Amino acid sequence: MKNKLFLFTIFTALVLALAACGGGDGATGENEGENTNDAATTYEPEDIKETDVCEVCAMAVADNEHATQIVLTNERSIKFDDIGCMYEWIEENGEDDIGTAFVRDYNSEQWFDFTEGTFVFDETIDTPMAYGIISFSDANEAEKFIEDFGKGDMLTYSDLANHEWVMHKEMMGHDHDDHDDHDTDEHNDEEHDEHD
Amino acid sequence: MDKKLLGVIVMIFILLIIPSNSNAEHQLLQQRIDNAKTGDTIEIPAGVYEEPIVIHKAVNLIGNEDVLFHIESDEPAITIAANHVTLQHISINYNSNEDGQAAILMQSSENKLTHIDIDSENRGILLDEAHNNLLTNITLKGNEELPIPKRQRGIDLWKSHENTITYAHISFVEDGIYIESSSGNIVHDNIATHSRYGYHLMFTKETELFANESYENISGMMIMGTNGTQVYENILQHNQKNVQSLGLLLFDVTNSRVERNDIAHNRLGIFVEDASENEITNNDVHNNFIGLQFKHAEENNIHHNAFSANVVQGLAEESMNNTTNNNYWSDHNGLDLTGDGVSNLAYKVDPFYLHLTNKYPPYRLLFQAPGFLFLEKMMHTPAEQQLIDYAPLLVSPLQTPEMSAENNWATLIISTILFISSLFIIYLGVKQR
Repeated sequence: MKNKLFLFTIFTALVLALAACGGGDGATGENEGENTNDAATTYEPEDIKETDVCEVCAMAVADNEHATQIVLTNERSIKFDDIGCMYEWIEENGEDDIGTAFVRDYNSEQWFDFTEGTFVFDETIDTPMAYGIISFSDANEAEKFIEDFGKGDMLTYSDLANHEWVMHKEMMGHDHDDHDDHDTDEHNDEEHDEHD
Repeated sequence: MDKKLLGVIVMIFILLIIPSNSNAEHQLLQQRIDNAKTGDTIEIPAGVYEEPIVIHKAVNLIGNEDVLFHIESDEPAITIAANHVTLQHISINYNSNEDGQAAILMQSSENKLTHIDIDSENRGILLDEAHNNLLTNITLKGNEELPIPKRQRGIDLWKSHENTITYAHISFVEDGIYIESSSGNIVHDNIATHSRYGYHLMFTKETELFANESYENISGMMIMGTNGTQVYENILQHNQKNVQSLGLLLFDVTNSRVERNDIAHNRLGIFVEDASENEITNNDVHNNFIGLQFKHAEENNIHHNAFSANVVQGLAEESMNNTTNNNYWSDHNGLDLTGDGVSNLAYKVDPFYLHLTNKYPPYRLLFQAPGFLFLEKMMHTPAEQQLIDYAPLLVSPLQTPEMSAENNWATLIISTILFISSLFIIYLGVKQR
């Protein structure tokens, strides 16, 4: 009988401890939720590890200029292989739990705040999930990219809300009869290489 | 003494002669290709070739086991620029500083590559807008020492249609066979191992993948943004290098047919995400950590599959209107009132565990803990978010009558042995008294 009482006490203690942990997390979450308005709270981006996979499309996240991440208010970092995947996540989950969303500069691959970026879109820019958007911390660099690439639209963070986020799967409507014209198509090898 | 001196002189002579000889052979080979008439067959003499070649004529190049292209160049080892080229029985050892360069670059159609052995730190074979080609009996090996992010693809198809890739054995690369923006390709009877993804489709149409095998990769088959893909009779096993390793991923996939695949010993057997109108039937999904997972998947038809011995048989997340009836779930305690082999009790998978661990990963430690199961029962999840089989099968649809007869025999024999041995033990015990 004593043993049973002892076991019951331990079980109750464990359940309470577990509940406390859960409650604790929730409470921290709430506090941190409030902290989003607090300029003093800063969130640091994590390095991309070989084991990281995109939260949206389940692909491995390559440690390159296309990687993006959101550090949540509970300081957990979720990673994406393409800005498009991150945007899709934000659309679905809202911004309440976001500490800071980070993107990488196309040239330097340095992390910076998503909301402070300048973006270039062209459907022929190859990104891992073919959203065709790349990010720059410096607007001049973005302009220079468009100049070198020969085309592309420059977008600010607020423009992204009006952007049509789609994967550009150009061959989905492919017609088998146009095989013969492939020699005349200009193909940019460099672009292709970037695809992951 | 004289003999030794003579030996040294001969050695020096050989060392001097070999490179120039291989160079001469190469020049001769390129010249022979250039001078050949359409349809000519050129037999490549045995030897080591150290300069890249370009084939811009419809010729048949036939090597043998002693033909090796040892190429260190920014150019591909072999460029096939003409249609109707046959290349067979050669080995290539390729190393390039040019990122993304391939050992064999094919930019033309109706070619045939057969019995090619490639050892490459770079891309193996690139089909760049190349159509109706046949690649068969290809052995392709990357550098085992390189970490996966630094490796490159084995066979890579870009805007290339109606090619057939078969009997290729690919290992230690990034993605074994990668097909992007292409349609009507057939990939069968290949083996991909020790790579990132065995087979990876991006934005393809009407691709057929059958009888392929994938082992020890991060993930077996990644099928993304495709339409009309047919995936059948593949073996996707032991892909569990990563915490998110998958047997088969269907992401943003429509109208595909996934049938009779053997998906086992992966972290996650089949992951269906953002996918709709797919037919998933007669697959044997066993011994995975999670058998089947849905996320934002709608209107898929999943029936007559066998889910057995997976730690979690299935999980569903925000998925609606999928038909998941008539599957076999090995952990289902069914009740068959009508004797039709179909349980009258539904099989339900609750997404509670997945939801919670997504938000708070440390809770993974409490997987299947009694308290957790109790909480799962307490927190009611709406039926449309659950994976429910209203008519689970009581016997695996993949079990043939012969198999069950064999099983019955095995059970009978084992129980007879046990029965006899227990009688014997009892008899011995009684005798001792």
